[in-house]
Amino acid sequence: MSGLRRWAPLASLLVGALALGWSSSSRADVAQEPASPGGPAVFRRLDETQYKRSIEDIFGAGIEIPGRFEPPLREEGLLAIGASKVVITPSGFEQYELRAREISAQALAETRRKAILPCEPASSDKFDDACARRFFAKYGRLLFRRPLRPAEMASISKVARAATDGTHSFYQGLQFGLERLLVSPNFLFRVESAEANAGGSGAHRLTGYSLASRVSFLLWNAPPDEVLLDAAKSGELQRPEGLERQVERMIASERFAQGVRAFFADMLGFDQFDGLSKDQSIFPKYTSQLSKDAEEQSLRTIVDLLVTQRGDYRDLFTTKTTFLNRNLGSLYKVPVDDSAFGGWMPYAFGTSDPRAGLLTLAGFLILDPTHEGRSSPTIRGKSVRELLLCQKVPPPPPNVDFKLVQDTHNPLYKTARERLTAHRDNPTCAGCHAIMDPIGLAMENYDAIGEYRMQENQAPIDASGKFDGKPYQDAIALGQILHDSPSVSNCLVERAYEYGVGRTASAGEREWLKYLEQRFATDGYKFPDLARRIVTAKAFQAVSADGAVTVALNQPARADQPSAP
Amino acid sequence: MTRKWTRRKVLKGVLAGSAVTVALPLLDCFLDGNGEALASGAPMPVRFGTWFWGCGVNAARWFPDKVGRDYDLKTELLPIKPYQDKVTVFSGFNCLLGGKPNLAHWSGIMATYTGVCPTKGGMGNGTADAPTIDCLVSDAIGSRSRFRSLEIACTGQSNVSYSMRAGSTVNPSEVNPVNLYKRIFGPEFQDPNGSEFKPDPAILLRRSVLSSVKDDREQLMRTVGAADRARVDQYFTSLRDTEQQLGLMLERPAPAEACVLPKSPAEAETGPVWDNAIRTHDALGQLIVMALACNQTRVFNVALSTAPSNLRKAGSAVAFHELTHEEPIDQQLGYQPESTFFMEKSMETFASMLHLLDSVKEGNGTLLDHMLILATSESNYAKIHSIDSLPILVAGTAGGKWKSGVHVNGKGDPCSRIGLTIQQALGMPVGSWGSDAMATSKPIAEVI
Amino acid sequence: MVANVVRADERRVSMAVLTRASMAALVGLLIAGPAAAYVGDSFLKVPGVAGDWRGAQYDHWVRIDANYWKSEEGGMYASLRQTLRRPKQFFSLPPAPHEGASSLMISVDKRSPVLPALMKRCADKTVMPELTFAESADLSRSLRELGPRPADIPEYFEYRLKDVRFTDCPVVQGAVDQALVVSFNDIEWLNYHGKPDGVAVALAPSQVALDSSAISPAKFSGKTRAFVVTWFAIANDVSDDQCAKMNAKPSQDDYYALMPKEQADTERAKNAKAGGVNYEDGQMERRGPDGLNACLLPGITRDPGLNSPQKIARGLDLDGRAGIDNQLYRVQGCMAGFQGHKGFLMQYRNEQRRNGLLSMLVQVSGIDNDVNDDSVDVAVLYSLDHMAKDASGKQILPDYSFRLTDNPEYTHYFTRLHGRIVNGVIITEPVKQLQFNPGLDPELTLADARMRLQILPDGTLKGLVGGYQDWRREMKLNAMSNSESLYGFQCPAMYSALKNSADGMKNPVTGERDGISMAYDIEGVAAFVVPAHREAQPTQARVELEAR
Repeated sequence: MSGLRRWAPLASLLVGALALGWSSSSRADVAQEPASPGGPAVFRRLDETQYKRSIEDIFGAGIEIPGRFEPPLREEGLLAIGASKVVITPSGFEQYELRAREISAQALAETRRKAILPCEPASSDKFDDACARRFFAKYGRLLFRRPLRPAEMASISKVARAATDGTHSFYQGLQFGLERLLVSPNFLFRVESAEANAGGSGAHRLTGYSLASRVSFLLWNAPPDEVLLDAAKSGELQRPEGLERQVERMIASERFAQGVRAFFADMLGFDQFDGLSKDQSIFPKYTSQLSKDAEEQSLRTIVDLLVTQRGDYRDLFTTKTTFLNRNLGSLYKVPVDDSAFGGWMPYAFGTSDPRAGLLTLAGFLILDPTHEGRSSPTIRGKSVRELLLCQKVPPPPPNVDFKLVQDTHNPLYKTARERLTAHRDNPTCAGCHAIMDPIGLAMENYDAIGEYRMQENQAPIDASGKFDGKPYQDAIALGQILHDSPSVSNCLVERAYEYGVGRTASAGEREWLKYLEQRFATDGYKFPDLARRIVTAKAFQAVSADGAVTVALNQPARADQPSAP
Repeated sequence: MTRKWTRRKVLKGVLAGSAVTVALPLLDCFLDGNGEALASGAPMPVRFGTWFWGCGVNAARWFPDKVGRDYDLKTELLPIKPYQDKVTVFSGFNCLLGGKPNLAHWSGIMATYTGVCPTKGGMGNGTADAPTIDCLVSDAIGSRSRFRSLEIACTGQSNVSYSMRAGSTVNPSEVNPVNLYKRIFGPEFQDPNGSEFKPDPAILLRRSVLSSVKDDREQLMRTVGAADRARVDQYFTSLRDTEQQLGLMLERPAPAEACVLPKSPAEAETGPVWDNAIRTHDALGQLIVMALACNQTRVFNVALSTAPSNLRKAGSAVAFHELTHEEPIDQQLGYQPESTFFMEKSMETFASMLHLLDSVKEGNGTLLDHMLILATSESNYAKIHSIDSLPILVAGTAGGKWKSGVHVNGKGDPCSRIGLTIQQALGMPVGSWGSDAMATSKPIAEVI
Repeated sequence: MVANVVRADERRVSMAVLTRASMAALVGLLIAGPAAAYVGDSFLKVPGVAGDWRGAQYDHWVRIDANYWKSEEGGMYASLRQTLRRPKQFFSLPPAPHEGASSLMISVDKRSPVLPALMKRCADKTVMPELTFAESADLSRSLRELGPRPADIPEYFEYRLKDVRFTDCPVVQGAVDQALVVSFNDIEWLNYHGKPDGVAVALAPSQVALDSSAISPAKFSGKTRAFVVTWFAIANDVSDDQCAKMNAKPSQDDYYALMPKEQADTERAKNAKAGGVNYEDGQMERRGPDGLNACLLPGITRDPGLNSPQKIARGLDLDGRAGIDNQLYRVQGCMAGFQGHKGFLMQYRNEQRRNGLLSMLVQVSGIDNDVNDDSVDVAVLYSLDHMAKDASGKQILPDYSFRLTDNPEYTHYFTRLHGRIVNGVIITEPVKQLQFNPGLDPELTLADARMRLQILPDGTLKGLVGGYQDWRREMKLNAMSNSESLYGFQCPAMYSALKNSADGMKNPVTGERDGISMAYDIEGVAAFVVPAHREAQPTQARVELEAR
């Protein structure tokens, strides 16, 4: 819990000020917000980070979380959407069960007990029903992100009672009860439920607690804290000004940065860094550590520009400001000072240095799991199309002959441009390559691990091309064009929204997204403002009629009824 | 289309040694991942051992070129051929010093065994800055047998042991077959099949936790959308799966069918002379194998010699270690012939240990199938004490939890990844292992 | 000297875990171990004998070519533990006893005119009430020690030996020196009454280190190129066809050669159990007549002869006369362990640096023209930041930054040479003395030294360092049977070869040459030199390895 309180003071300081600056206009905006049908309530498996952060937030730092997590799944360009599709497999469950035991054992260990228990049991070797209920009510609410239902409380107490009798220890009893909470699907999945909508957009809306989770995971990539859960309980969260107050608090918190990191790591496909590999006989500087460093550099650059500096999102494609450690100093061939040894030093590339913007950093250039021995303009172009422009590139037709492209030693075709030009003579390929290659060829001055080069096989590299009819000489010029391209900022808006709701935007949500794109522009492309608009929008909590199976069965009054502590 | 694109990527990831495994909705690649416990009914006890030899290898004559299955066996690894499908070979896993010293004949072994580069020691002695892996494993599985672990050394020196709780004291080795026999099969020996069986109450409680979770099902089914109900079902299928495994653990374990009382070995000379050392190894080895088959221990450690190996041929004043430094490289052969004799013989001796383990039938496999042995040396090339790409083998399949028979290239990753993977394959709750430059939380996907 | 305190603790613990056997091997490997040998002049004043020495000091004393005290007869082990417990910045005393009966072993050149007189006293068992003996403080000092001789340590230690007899003087045909055992009933130190084992000294940062701007690129016009040294080793690359026969370590038979038959037989039987005479623990070096140490007195057994490489070596012209000067190559070229890229010793030392022991840096400044430039500066600097290796560990990665250390143990050796570029080759002006601290092994001091460097098209550095090294240091360094077996040579052969090949550092008193010409290969990859922002402590690597 202390983990959560840390943020409170800072938050309260900032809430007022920021709220004043923004909320008046925002309420007007919410009024102008086009109606949106919303989509289904979704059922998302916690990912590894979210699981670990939940445990740390709820039980405090220092709890060892063992075992392997099930791999994530990328769907429609986002792991956040895949999370609404993946399941828990037998071996995955085995790990969750083991994790649950290890965590509850640590949480109720002699050393932690006092801090964690809300009450002193009547006796340490007999079952104390009142104390157990208070314990489970408190942690059940934090873990399930809503109060326990009476039936759940009963089922859990039963386990704890039996375990106490079996072990003659109240604490061991609680331990098994806590295990019961930790393996429950209500913790491992984010279960969203809807309720009838009091005249908002969409037929239904999320319940206060479900909304709290959506907001919290989008802004913090963490479960709701006690303050947010209280706001859900009191209904404050479902009143615009109440919601805004909470959102201001959360955006002001240091934890907003971790939410931003999580979103961009997902949008930019950084999960591919895990297990990335390059041919070290060709790229001796490549190690698994280097790819970690490259990922970290990009994330630091993003968070610094968007959150710390409150900068313009589009500047990510042109910025010279970044961070370096000793490894990257070697990759970029620049000296680093003491602070980069075992740490990170802020760094601004010189004007003559051929680096500017995310696309010229190793974090983007290296990230190609399909080629170990060479750079692939096609994959780089595809990444830009799919990750940054939200454009889908069709897969290559079956049985294509890639020999020409892959043979980097062919004396006839010394550069990638020459190889791909030859390859494109094949009409079946030409179409798609025309979409991808020009963009990728702009980055040919950077090899497969991002080291700068002027030539390939002694032949000069031509990095020029056209994007949206605008000509460029190299990746840096292309960065400027992307900076100015509406498709780039619109793609971010779409992804951010889909990331928040855990599904692709529906046709019915077009209008709402268009509106959001305009607002992003008028707000000066400030990411925090975009995030704020998304989570405070009616569309964000709207649940479509077909998506809300629960309403009939599950009235909000009952669903959110806290069980008596 | 996105999904296809994802598959390609993920699949590539696997080939490239990624920790990513294919994860598709509902159909999961791990369904067979529960090992033999399910296949054979009663759970087989899983065992762990280490097998150490000193002074490394000739890289070019030891490491396979081909990565993956059916790796090529070079001359120095040829002895393991009969067991190739049960042996995993690791190359490119390094001792990453990160500014710590390269302590001659010490850093390498401690890196692999403890996941931490040591800061004190050298010449086969020194401090372990963390417990060696066998101690961690015996803490997890050793308590259920009479001996937490058994250590043996083959050169007659009981202080030759690489099993350490941290600090500079070793768990001393048994060096005399007669004494080891008395210790295991003396009067205290109890027939494992005789003693009666009590189910572990903790496991009963674990099972009650799982059955209680089923109470959440109905409510959940009513809450989620139609499409997600299938996913809720999959969750509860997986839960029942674990429930069944717990059920098996509540049944009496498989009888130790292979347990037969060996006869006491004869007194024989021990010492660093090669022939004596090998005879000692096999004599001690047979006793260890029976101790495992009879559930007397689940963990063992073998040290063929100390790290700066004092093994020598009869009538020679110069030992293996001195040879590695002073013997010139034969220009025709391209290696040091005298030193190489010991390198080749070391692998023959390891193969004879594998033979002993693999000839004990157990369940529908052999003892070797129900264990993992980590075999390694302290250096790659002892001549200059190089510790990059340490020679590391893992034999056995841990009852199906470990995919054996492949050659994995670590591409310069820390060798602690192997220790981490072993612990996870043995079902230990370990998410990360090692410290400083050796710290890792990345198990080796190719084998689990 | 906080660092020293820490090191002292580290040392005790690490020594504690060393068995004698492993220590033996270890010292053999960690070359800076305290060889006990004293090779070079010491002086004996024998009443009634007019000595052959002519000089400002000890005129008419008897000139001794090598010596060791009884306490050292076990070879390097005798003084190992205590010496290793001392910090590197220390000046230790000779192991002469402070009182009581003991003996001193000496060797005298058989050509010495006074030898007959000494042999007669030996034969007559003459009792001499008093002898005076003088030995050089610098020559007796452990080679691993660093720093100047403090004022309270005399240039020569002088002892009065009382009730002295030459108790043994075995004659060995073909040996260049004659051994004598000087036994005495008591000893008195005449000119030193300070601490019993030695005096701590402190290295001072060099002028280059003090003037930090001297190494900052800003100070120079034009380009500055920096490199981290990936290979620093004697230029002893010898192709197989160059050595008709390699030199070999002493054979088992050599050990028994000077023994009476029946003693040899019993000894053989005794040693058979261990497989023969042991090289690692110093047994083999006690093969001199009457069990005298044939490495500490390297001239007292017959020189088995030296195999030298055929063709000419690489090196630099040090004396201006035609051809290059690299006599050490003639001596050590056909000793397997001393060869360049192929030899164990050089591989081992470089592997240690690559594993983080120490990073040597070379910075070339003031390059206005890559091909011809009449003025450039070459600085040799040190960092404790470790080099980055590729996954295979074989290749050192370029373009890494290195923080200069501010530890005096290295800043003392920061050097800057002035030079020019001629046709793309950087040649420095010769300097009287050039010192390196290569890490594990002892300080390298070269006289009349210079460097010749090239920056290759691939951006790497390749070159040579040339100069004269004191041959007596080189002998002292290797005077143990552990080294004989490790590197493949015999003490008497190396002794004569070094002495006879000496070609530099003319001794003003004797007119003899104390120095032998040699060359070091130096190779590097591009690096950045950056200032140290904090007190750079020795890395664990250094702490631990120096403890050896």
